[in-house]
Amino acid sequence: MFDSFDVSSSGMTAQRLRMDIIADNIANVNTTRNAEGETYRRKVPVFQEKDTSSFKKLLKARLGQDSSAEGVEVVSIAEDQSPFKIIYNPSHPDADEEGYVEMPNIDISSEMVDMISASRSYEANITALNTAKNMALKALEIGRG
Amino acid sequence: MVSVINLMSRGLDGALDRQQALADNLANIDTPNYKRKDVDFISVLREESEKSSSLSLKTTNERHIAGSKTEANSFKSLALRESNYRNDKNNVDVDVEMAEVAKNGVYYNTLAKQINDQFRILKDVISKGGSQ
Repeated sequence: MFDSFDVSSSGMTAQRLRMDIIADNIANVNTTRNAEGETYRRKVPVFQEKDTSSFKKLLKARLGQDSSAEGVEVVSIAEDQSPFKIIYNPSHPDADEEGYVEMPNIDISSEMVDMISASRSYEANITALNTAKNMALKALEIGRG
Repeated sequence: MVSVINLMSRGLDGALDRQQALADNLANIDTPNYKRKDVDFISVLREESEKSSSLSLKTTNERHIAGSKTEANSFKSLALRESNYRNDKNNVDVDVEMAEVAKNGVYYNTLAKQINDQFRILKDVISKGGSQ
């Protein structure tokens, strides 16, 4: 019964992590050096359907059932390999000999779009969680009148 | 009467299974290559109510209760693979999913209310017999 709560909460966790990463990208939009002295690369979360644990999977196969819903997980945080933006700014301390600076490959408007998308997906998961909760509470009322 | 309650409680189980599949679709709304899942329990229930055959327990005494068939959940979970409408090959449509979540929730609540009413009828019958 509570499995669908866990599924929805895994979705919420994943979307919140996505939001954290977007915030990180926006915060680093002008970062030309990280701890290793390299230009900041845009980070993207990699989502994957959560795999059923092997015990549960075996049990379900034995009972002749399909492996059921388990939610979502973020398997890694990848770096966007698209090219850096090059701007001409000879006075910048990280400029090369010709005066060009590599700026992070972050596009603020696409980050904003992702941010709204993450926020809406989070809300959709909350709605599913609330529906499941109301169903559970309704089941508690059986036999009460 | 008991078999009606049994059938309806199977409906509750089915709606719960379905809720989980829908929650999974919404959780994986941004997962590339994910295909939406659904649970087809209505057709299983329809089959069952048409058959209405009960699997009786073995009895060694005529006063033993035969019991009735209550299967473990065996609803079919379907992964629907036919459509792609997004670039990432994910076919979850948030409008459809939210509507299904709403429908499923109302279905569950209606069924729970009906079960409750069945029990209320039973209670009424029992208590009315006692009062003189």
